[in-house]
Amino acid sequence: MNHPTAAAIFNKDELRTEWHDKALWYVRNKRDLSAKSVPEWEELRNLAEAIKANVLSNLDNYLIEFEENAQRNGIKVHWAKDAAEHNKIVHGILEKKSVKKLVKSKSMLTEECHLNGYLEEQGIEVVDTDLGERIVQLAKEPPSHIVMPAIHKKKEDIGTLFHEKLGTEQGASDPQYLTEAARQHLRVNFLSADASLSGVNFAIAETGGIVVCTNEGNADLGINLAPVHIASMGIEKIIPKAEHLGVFLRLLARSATGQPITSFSSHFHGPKPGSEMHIVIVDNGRTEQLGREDFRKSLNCIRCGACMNTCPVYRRSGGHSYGYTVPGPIGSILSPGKDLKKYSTLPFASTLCGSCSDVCPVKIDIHTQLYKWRQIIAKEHQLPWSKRQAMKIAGYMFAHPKLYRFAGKAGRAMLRMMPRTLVYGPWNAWGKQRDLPEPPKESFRDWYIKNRKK
Amino acid sequence: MSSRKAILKAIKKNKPELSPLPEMQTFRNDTVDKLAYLKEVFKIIGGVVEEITDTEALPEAIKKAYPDKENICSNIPGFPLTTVDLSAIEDPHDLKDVDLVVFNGKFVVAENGAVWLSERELIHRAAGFITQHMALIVNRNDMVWNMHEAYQKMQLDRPGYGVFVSGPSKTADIEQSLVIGAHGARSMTLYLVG
Ligand code: SF4
Repeated sequence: MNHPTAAAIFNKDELRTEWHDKALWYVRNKRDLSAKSVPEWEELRNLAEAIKANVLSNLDNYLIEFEENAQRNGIKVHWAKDAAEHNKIVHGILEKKSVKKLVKSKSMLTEECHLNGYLEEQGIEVVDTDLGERIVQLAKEPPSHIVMPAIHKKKEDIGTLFHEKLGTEQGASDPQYLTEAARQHLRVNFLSADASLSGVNFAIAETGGIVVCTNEGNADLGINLAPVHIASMGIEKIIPKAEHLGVFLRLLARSATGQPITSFSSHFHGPKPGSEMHIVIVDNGRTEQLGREDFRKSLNCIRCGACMNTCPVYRRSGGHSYGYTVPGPIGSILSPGKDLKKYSTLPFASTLCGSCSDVCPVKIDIHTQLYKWRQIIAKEHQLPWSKRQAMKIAGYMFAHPKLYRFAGKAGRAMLRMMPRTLVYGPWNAWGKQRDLPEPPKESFRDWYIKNRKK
Repeated sequence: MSSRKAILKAIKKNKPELSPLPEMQTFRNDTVDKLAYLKEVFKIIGGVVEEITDTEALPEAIKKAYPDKENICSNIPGFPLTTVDLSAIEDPHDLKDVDLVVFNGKFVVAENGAVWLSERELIHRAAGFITQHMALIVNRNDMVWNMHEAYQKMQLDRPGYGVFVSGPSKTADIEQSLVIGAHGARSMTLYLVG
């Protein structure tokens, strides 16, 4: 299903759309307050951007340096060119250790690789332990946001789900009560897991270790108890030096939720005594993106989610409408690189207002990239027929000033005279949830001609 | 070709021209009242700060803040409230009933309330997460302003694990309502001593 169709379904429930919009705007506001409290915010963004530019320009050497240092720290390093190889490597490690149950903390990469389904087919139980992830896992849905996976669900939905799956009281929807139930349920799993898997927020070339950030403490609880830890990372997660963490950790949580830092920022430089630690370095299309000059900067992304929270289209269409692991503005510039045809509507799921680029802590020119994908899609004829026709007509009108002026006049007059039901019919997509502005009596051109004479 | 080789080769082919690393800055702030700032931050992160001038008074203060806790661990040798000896435990799963940990932390960061604990302080990596409550002790002189100073202060890769703890475990995954005590500690108190 393409984005406009999925968004239209989401929009059918107007109250819920309204609520979703507000919930995310609330997070965006918290981000603003938090960013404003740091006088050097813009300097931090510049530093982050420059560090990432250096990383991309020297990525092969940093990966080699990282591997060497990680191995010295007693970590086993694996390389996967695509999702299938990643999944196979993970399964291989688990099989060797006869793992029956794996606890996982948040990792968008394993979502991208569809690891859960793969492991379940091999008979391994996978338990997502981040509360939001557990909610969507129990509901058999993908996450709808990269930081708040269950942001599309109301507490009543979660109450019903937990009643069915975890045996909470029927009708109970108090977040405190539901969180406590999840805590008890997941503790049992933490204590009985044979292995843990985490994502990676940052991998430090200089020291050969990784950093994982959570608020719940679920990553550490899983990793620090189980005898095997697997960390999956995309090649772009590398940063050169430990001192660079200062820049990124100051930006990440403030951009994501407005917190000054996540509750736990954990640094792993080797397995705990008597355990194993593995890192799987994954390409899966990233080197290709690195080769696209106009789009490589999208690899700067530190997955804070700020561009989603601020996006007027994301807020009013929901993460699932994008149909890609990473939704929102950043997903819309990553996905066409994966499959231009399948995701051809995503670069159009934007008003090009540029708010995403303004909030992005690593200064990705998101809206410019959206625009550039549009040009590629238009050139490759991936545009839907209706859009192509509309563009053709518009092009003709702009090329014929007299016709343009006549159409403007006629339009203004018609809008004033026509009954509401005619103007706001199903053909008026713009007017679906809002009113058109009052049509002016005269065009700017008429006004200008009149006033210039004065 | 191995995947390692293929990936490195593809990067080499596709990467842009070398872009220099920027000069790092530490954004020192010598005028800010770090203690006052830290106290404000603790309100946001959901923790509690207590100032204790006399170290002798610590056990009493902790006992008062955390009454009726049975299983208490600490990394302070001879700490009077200790009931479970962390170094005597082999399997971290045996920590599952710990009610309270009392840990000396290395230092605290004023801008975000983060206390640094390495594996040396935690003894067991899981100890700081499996516990129901957490009391951390830091000397008031061991306070840095921001994360840049923090990373200058430590050796990151030895021992193999370290964590910045900023407040108790929390989540807002259900309708953005903040709930304290997701999987880890349900409360975190920082005792500033000296
Ligand atoms: S693109 Fe920028 S704002 Fe969006 S998730 Fe990535 S880092 Fe955050």
